[in-house]
Amino acid sequence: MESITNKVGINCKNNPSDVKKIIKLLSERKSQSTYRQSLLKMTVPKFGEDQYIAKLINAIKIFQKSFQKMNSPDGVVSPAGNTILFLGGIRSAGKTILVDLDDQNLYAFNGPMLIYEFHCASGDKQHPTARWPSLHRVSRKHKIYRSRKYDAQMNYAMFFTIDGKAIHQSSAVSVTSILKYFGVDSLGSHGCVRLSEENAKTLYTWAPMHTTVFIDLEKI
Amino acid sequence: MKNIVLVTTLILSFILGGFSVGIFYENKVANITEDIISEEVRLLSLAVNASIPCDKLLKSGGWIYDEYTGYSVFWKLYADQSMVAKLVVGEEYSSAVETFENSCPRE
Repeated sequence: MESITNKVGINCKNNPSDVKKIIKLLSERKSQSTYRQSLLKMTVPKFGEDQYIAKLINAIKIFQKSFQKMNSPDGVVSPAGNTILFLGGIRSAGKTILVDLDDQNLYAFNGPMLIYEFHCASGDKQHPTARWPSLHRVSRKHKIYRSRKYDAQMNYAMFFTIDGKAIHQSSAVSVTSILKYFGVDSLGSHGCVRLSEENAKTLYTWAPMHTTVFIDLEKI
Repeated sequence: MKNIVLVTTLILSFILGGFSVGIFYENKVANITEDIISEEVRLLSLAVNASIPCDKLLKSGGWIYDEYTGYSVFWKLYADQSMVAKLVVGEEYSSAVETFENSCPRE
């Protein structure tokens, strides 16, 4: 996955290799079937063409407004910021968990380095984990979570939304994951991201509180 | 020959059917667990900033409750005063309970 070393955009250094990467990411996002419609207005310049930096800044702003849903787009992509994740790249520093709903895979990155790649099972058709790419943080961690009232068990749970969506251990992962990969969307979780026990345990140990969780509908 | 094909088809259908029911059931149980726990965590997250009404608790000895928009919080001290129980009840009477060490200053 692509990461950049310096900021790209308004009043930035605009290092040519970083600019090339951002142009590539913007073009790839635009070509993805899931996002094509929302990025129709965005024109991605070619590297080196007339006024390509100004055009790129404009493209970044349109991306931030229509894709990232920013109220005030700043026209800047930072190496460790949020826009790089929405673009389908990866931060240059810090731990990030990336969930690809299309391929039913979960990736754990430390900076740009891929540490783990696990099969996962996400939400079903009625309860999708996300309807649009979204950024979260691990807000609660429970190695052993048991509902006292209902005696329900959900171990290695890392909650990342206020409405209780979590990455957690489940025995209903592998077959569900494969079926979802082949487009059978009626099976799946109620919004959580399920991992096998071993993988959930590994991720739980690796990811501290406040680790970034990015849910992508279609990974680059 | 026909019988062999028929029996094989029946056996395969039976295995496949059993396998599908197994997956469906396992998925359903996992979904129920997720729903329960998601609701509990949602309620506990809502009430995360509610602070213990120490004065009232120490005086009362029974359940103390505070009302907030969308949920209510019930508090109770353990008999030995070592722990505090916090029960959060949502608008539709779903609930979650949390216990933690008594951090109230002792008299």
